[in-house]
Amino acid sequence: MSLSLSAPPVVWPRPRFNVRPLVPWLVPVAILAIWQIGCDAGWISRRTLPSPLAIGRAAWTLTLSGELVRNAAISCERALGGFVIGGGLGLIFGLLNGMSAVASRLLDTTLQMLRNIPHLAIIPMVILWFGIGEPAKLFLVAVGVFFPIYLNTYHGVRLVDAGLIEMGRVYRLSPAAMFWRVILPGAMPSILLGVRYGLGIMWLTLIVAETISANAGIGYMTMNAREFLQTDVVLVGVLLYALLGKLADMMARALERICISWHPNFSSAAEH
Amino acid sequence: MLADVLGHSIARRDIVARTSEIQSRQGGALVALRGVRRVFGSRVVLDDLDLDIAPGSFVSVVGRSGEGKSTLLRLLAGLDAPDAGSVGIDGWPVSGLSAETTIMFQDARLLPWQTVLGNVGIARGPGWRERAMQALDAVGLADRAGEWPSVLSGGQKQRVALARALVRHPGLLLLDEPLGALDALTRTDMQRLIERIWRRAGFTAVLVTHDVAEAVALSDRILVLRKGRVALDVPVDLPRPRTRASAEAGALEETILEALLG
Repeated sequence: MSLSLSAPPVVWPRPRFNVRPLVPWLVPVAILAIWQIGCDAGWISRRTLPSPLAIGRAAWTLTLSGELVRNAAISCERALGGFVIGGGLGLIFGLLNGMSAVASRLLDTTLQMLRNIPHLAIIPMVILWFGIGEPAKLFLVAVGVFFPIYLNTYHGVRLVDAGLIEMGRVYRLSPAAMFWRVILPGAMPSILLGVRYGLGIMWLTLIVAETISANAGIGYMTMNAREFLQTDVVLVGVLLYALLGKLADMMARALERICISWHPNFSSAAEH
Repeated sequence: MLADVLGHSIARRDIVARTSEIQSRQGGALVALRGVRRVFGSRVVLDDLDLDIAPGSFVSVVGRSGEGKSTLLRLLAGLDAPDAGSVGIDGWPVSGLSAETTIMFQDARLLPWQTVLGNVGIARGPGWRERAMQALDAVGLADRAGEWPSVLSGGQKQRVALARALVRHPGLLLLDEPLGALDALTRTDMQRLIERIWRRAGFTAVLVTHDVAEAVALSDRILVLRKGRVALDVPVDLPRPRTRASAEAGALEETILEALLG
């Protein structure tokens, strides 16, 4: 008995690679392979859909010529500029109306009415007002981003636990301390939700605005390529939008991690 | 090993020094209510109430739900104002919130986005970390200072809330059923802690509770509120620390229950 217990346990050789993380990538890789083979075999017309390798080559050529980076930079600039203007105003009005009953009574109904206008519907007016220059795109993005951030900030402030505010009064917090220590952190999860919605709308608006009228940017690049039937360049533009959208979402998640690290969902060691 | 022992003895000395710091305010506040009336709509919650509370005493207010207990506490805290009559603390009329009065609610009301230490020192000010640390020591939670409130148990949260109240060296501590949501064992534990700290610090305490046994265990005096008036006002002369389930305590509980139900 004791002999068998003290016998060394059998050690199976462990596989050199853990294959489990690779499983979700099987289907995408298979689709890409079939796509490539279909193009090479001539089943898919190059005009309809260029092969993955052709798209890669186009991306490489555009990168080398500097065109890709220049257009992406211009698009990012517009996106972020519009986001900062619209998001900043949304945040300010959201905080103001959330904290002041007078401001809320005066402004909220107006803003709620304006919210119902799809901001892309005013593109013809925007072109009349601003032409097709930079202000038109900044304006459209800012209008699109304003509402999700305004609404989420407003509701976030309104829903801050009244018990905590009363506690703050009992401990005689100054208005500034009440804002920075109670109201703003309390509204933060909701504000960040608005930021994530806003980022989605930001790219969508920019794509539409750049596609309709532009003389630079990713949208301009793709529309230009369409004129010359360069479908590979069009698809590079589409993928670039997807990549930038993903990047923005990752930034928003990182922001959440930093700003609401106290939340049980992001449990980590507290560092004051 | 030696370092451990040294560290321990230093910690002990610190605790003694810090608890003496908590007592620095001399005596509790004197509370005087004259003809206080509070009406909500057509309902008279407090009706021509006269009440004097001696400095440093522990008074419990018991009564059924909606009999004005919490209203009384909110008037004392300055969170609410009477429709008639006056509320005075240390001879001064209460007008709004005072730095000398602190209230503990049924829920701990900790800011989830501040650490335990940040919550205790919520009012900040110079040297707040040291003062908050002393108060946490007094409630036995100094080792949890850096954690988020969400990881604490209900009893621990209330102890943090108590520490937050102690930082201000209150003359009057109002307790609005702070133990109502705790389990029986944690509750007894907290009652002992509150009694110990009250005896050391000497503030005036007013406790609102549903629990007659709790009132008998902690108070110098028990008030029964009924229909906006004091229906019963009894002193509790039992020696401290009190043993539960003594014959005298039982008899007193019986009297109070009679007044409550009667």
